[in-house]
Amino acid sequence: MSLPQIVVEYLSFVPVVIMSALWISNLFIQHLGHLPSVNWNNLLASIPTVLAAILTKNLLVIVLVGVFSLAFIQIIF
Amino acid sequence: MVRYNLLGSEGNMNSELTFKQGLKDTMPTVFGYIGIGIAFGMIGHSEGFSVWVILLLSLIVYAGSAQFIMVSMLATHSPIMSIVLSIFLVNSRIILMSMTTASYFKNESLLKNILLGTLLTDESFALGMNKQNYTEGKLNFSWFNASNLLAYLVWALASAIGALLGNLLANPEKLGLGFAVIAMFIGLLYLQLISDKTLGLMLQLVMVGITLVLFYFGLIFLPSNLLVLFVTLIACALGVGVKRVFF
Repeated sequence: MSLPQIVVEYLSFVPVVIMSALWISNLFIQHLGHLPSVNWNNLLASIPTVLAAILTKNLLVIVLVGVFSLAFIQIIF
Repeated sequence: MVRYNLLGSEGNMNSELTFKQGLKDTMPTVFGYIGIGIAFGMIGHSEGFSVWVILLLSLIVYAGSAQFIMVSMLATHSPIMSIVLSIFLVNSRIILMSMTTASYFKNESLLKNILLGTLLTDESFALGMNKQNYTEGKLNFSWFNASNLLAYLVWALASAIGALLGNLLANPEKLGLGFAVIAMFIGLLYLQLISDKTLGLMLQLVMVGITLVLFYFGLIFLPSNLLVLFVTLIACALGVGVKRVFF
């Protein structure tokens, strides 16, 4: 069974949107009824993680950098 | 394209689609499962669940956010139907993901499709979508099943270990382990951005921006869990429009 072209096109956006959404959902703290506040720890820890992604393109390194970054940030702040 | 890589062939996708390669490609994502799995085991333990129940939850439910929701709702004696509905909604994004995944397995039996769909996760989906950028848009059962199975077993094991460790460690959050999954999504998102051939980098960056805006304002109205699905549904539709008008 094949899906119509437009459905396939719609679904082609799912990977980038879902991965972004799953990451973004951790960058904010929800306050239902109001604008969310920023989760600064996660936002700051994301920066070295993104850098690790750009520099190494290696998932293992990216995850380790991320975990250490957050642990480090939590100690400092 | 030049790729630097400190740790050999893990983290580098190639075009091989064997069971063994599936395991290799999935190895880096294992840390995310271990981190969250252990956290789940610990939290489940602190809510009063035995190691066996925790292990069964991980084996039978096999859905991270859903399992966290389940243990807290079960602990507060919520009505079963509430729990069922909440979990259905939280996991409903998997419907979209498995529809997308299914298109790569049109030639496989229904049983194999069901097996792949049953063990599908956010991470194995992302990994699969990433992989097909390197295999001329192809995936096969051996590769995907290996990826699913590895994640499944690691998850179950990690949650059992977490439950056992529950007595020992007070605060898993302090070790930064909670960030493992987030870091994994960042990594997979980046790899997706640089290798997706059907959308291109510019359009995808626009989509990340659209997702961010929708999410930020959406958080006013909808709980975060539901919002992931909602934003995905809307953003993908907007994406089709943006692509046709501007690209």
